[in-house]
Amino acid sequence: MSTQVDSLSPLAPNSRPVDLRWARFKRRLGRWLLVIPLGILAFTTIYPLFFTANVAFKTRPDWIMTRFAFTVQPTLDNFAKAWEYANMARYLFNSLISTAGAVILLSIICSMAGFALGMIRFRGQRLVFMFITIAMMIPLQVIMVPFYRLIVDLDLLNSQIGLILSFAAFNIPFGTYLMASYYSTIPRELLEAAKIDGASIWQTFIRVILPIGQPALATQAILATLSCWNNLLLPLLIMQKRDLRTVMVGIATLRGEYATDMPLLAAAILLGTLPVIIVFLVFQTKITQGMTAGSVKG
Amino acid sequence: MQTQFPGLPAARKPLRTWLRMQQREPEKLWAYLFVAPAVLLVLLFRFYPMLTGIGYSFTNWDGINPPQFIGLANFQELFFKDLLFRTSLINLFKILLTLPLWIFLPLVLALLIHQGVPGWRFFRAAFFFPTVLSAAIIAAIFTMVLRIDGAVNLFLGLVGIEGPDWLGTTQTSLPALIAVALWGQFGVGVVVYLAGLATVEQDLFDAAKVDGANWGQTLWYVTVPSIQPTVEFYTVTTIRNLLAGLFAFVFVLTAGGPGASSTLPEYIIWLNMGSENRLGYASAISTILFVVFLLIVLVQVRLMGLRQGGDK
Amino acid sequence: MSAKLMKFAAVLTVLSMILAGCAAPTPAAPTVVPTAAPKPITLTVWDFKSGDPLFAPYTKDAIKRFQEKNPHVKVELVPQPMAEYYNILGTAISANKGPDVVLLHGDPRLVERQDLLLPLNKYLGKDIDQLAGQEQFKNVKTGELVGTPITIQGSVWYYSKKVYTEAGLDPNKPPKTWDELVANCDVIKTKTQKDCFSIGMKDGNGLHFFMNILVNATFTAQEQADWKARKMPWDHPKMLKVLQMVADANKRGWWQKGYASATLFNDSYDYFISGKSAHVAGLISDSGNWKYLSDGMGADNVGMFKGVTVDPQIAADPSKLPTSATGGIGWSVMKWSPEPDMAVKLVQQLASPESLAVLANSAGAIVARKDVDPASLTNPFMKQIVTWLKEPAFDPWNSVIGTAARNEWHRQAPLLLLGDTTVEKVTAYMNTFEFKK
Repeated sequence: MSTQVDSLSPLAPNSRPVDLRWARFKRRLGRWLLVIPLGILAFTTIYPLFFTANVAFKTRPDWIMTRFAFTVQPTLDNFAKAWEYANMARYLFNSLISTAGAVILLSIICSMAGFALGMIRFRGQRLVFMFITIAMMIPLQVIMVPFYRLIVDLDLLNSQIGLILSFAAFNIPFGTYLMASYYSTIPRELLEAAKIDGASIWQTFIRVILPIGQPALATQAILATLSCWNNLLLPLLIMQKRDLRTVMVGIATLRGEYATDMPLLAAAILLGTLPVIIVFLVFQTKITQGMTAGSVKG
Repeated sequence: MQTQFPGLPAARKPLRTWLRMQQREPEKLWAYLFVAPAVLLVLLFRFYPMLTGIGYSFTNWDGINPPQFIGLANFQELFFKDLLFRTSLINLFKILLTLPLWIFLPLVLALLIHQGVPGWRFFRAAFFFPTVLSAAIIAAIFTMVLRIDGAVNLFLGLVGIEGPDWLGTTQTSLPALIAVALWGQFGVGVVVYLAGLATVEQDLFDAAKVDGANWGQTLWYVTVPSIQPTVEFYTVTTIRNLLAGLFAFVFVLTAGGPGASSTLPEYIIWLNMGSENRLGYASAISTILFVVFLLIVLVQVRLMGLRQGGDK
Repeated sequence: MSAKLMKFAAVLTVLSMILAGCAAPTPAAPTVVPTAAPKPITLTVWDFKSGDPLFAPYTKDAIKRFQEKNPHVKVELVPQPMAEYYNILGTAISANKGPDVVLLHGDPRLVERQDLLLPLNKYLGKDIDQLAGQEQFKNVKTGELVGTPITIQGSVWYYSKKVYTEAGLDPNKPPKTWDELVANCDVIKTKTQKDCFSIGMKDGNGLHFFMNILVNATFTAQEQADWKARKMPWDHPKMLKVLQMVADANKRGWWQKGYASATLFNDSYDYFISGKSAHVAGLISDSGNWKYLSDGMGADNVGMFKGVTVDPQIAADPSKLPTSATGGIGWSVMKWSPEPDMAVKLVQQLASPESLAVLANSAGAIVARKDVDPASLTNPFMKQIVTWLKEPAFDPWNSVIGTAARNEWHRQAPLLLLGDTTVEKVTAYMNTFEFKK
């Protein structure tokens, strides 16, 4: 990709070959020097995963004696135990259903609301925007009791629908704002053009807006997935039956009241995090798809 | 097609305006339909419980017995008597001073990835890894990494520096906490900015290059303005995160200590709810945080209004 | 694009069908019931322990036994994470809808909720005399028992026999007096370069558990009662004496490096297990106890002692040194339970000798029953603790300090050790905190 940009650089035709080579060398050198701090940062971001994995393969005495050392005699016991005690098979399935449901719902709701708030002008727009944005600030800890009463009153206790709706409601502010800010950078002429072509606003939304919004939508989907998957309090409140709980609740209950079996916890964390890592690796290419398309075009 | 609606009495003016609007500007009507699901869900699951929560802040509720109205007593105690709360506000202020770092670090990284620094695909994935882990898990890992005999000090030892007990001194606990939280958060910024950058025409960057702009100038004069809404979005959500999204880090990394050196308002909320049974008092703290955030959003909406006005 | 859209719609439909399928059958009880059998009942049990693999065998066993006797009752055991337990319970209380049976700590956390708990006296009958540590499970207004204790919890000190040997000290002779302890620590420090005590001050707990023993060594029974009744100020000469011992230990550098960011559980224990410190202040029951230490370093290396004294009379007769112990955790029935009789039966099963024996074995818990014969205990640590429990006992100091004061003390204590504040300032501040607020 870098070479593409270089060959297309407007400087190229006017420069003498030697200068060009020197300039190119300098630019490349600069780029490669940048890689050093980035590499260090990347090392720190990946290290904890290695650390956790390393701990997960340790026996408990091994963990107490040599925390940071590389595990010499790895054991799979922790994974087996975590799988059993954290009821992983069942909980992974529950997490998958509630997270997938919420993320799909969120993608639809936030795209629609974000499009309206970012691209259309209507009366009360700022009020709606403010209303949705400040909802971000309400910590669940404090509204737990009225929220729980609401769930009970709506008969949503122990229901996947209840959990999905709650996940959605708690992530709408972030997702909508994200989509709105993205759409507001898109030229409004697009709307006018579609209108002239005779498309209804709904058709425009489906055929033009959604595809353009793909990078933001992918971002929204990834972040919502993480937020729902890692949420502890909502499933704790809403799912009050053992078989309905989610993976993060299962992991949280593995901690003892006083002492905690760290290798066991590390194994559970790895098992519970793997699905979201996969989701991210699959979705992340969508985020930059617009970008690669742009650079090829450029 | 200016149809009249003879069946409607003249007094029902709003409805008439509405129906007329439907004919003239259908997109505006669609806009209401488009925001409706979001507004309804937020109204039901967020605002309705929150109003009750704000109501509690004027009571002495203990979570077990019925609440009694005590007026502004909670707020009086918070502002005039509670030394711990005062310390936590100072700590919060110190954290807010680091805001530029939170905003610009991911922006710079996103831009480097966007411009295709060697290995950008790898960095794009690597920088996001911390975000995959929940805050509590990140904090648990860093509790070990930052111990006096932890990995950070091991590495520092290699270059001959004797590192402090990062989480265990009043001078280093808050900076260490900020660093860990930033580490856990910046990946979100990178991804958000990358999505925002996808809308920017590559020509803009090329043009800046032709004009001889250096990297910093390009960042400030080309990148930031062209994705301004995204930057604003990320700023607002980051402020929200700093005001009330660091609980897990405080709870696991330092438990607010040593002393109160890393105590934040949301940690005091938890202490009052989870251990001291003062739910009314906890609600009062969260009401204060809510009002602070409301003011910030007001400023942001004003900014947005200016920008939209300027577009015309 | 439209093909893509179709795919999307298809996925959505399938998904919503899955969701509907998942959501529908949650109301559990089957509608068709054989006429002969009793009406099926579901009992919901909440606790903060059974997610812990050490504790799980006990609840599993008790519920299995209960269901064999009562096949028409389904027990829904819901383990909750400790950090959120009382918050979640609070939401249930406020909505008047929640579990039938709950696990509670026998301290203010039970007293605060006492009016919501079913009195058990009339159900338990004579069995009530067999429950140890039941004082903490009574409704303080009515005196009725509202919970069945299952464990006794308390503080002891552990020492590493290995480190003692390395330092040339007798591994079977733990110190009896404060002065002996100081002398031992000096020897350990000079001969082995190891730390005298490992403590964890992140949550402030470390010093708390350390001081439980020192308070017992210093306070008289009357002073202990005064303290409990909030009549004794923080700058009382006896309290100052305790704090002076702490300051002395601090000055002598007893603690491990980095204690201020370490937790009592598990950091300071793990430090002790890895053989880097000679002593650690620990618990007697179910976790953070001798079992945790023995599993890590071998039972032969773990020494346990009740503490040290400053009183020569007590030094001559160590059985007079008060044991630091109190009722630990126990099961209660919520008044709102629609099936109180069955719920009490379940609690009785959970507190029965046969089930508690499982708990003692799996977690090394000191169970709250007098009819568990110490002679039947093969484990020397448990045997020792059970004898100590028959001697005079004080409530552990950390359990008789108000919640808000305790939270404040947890902030002040690390500052005291780090030298950011002084004993005078701390006691003065704690006084204003506890007596004027």
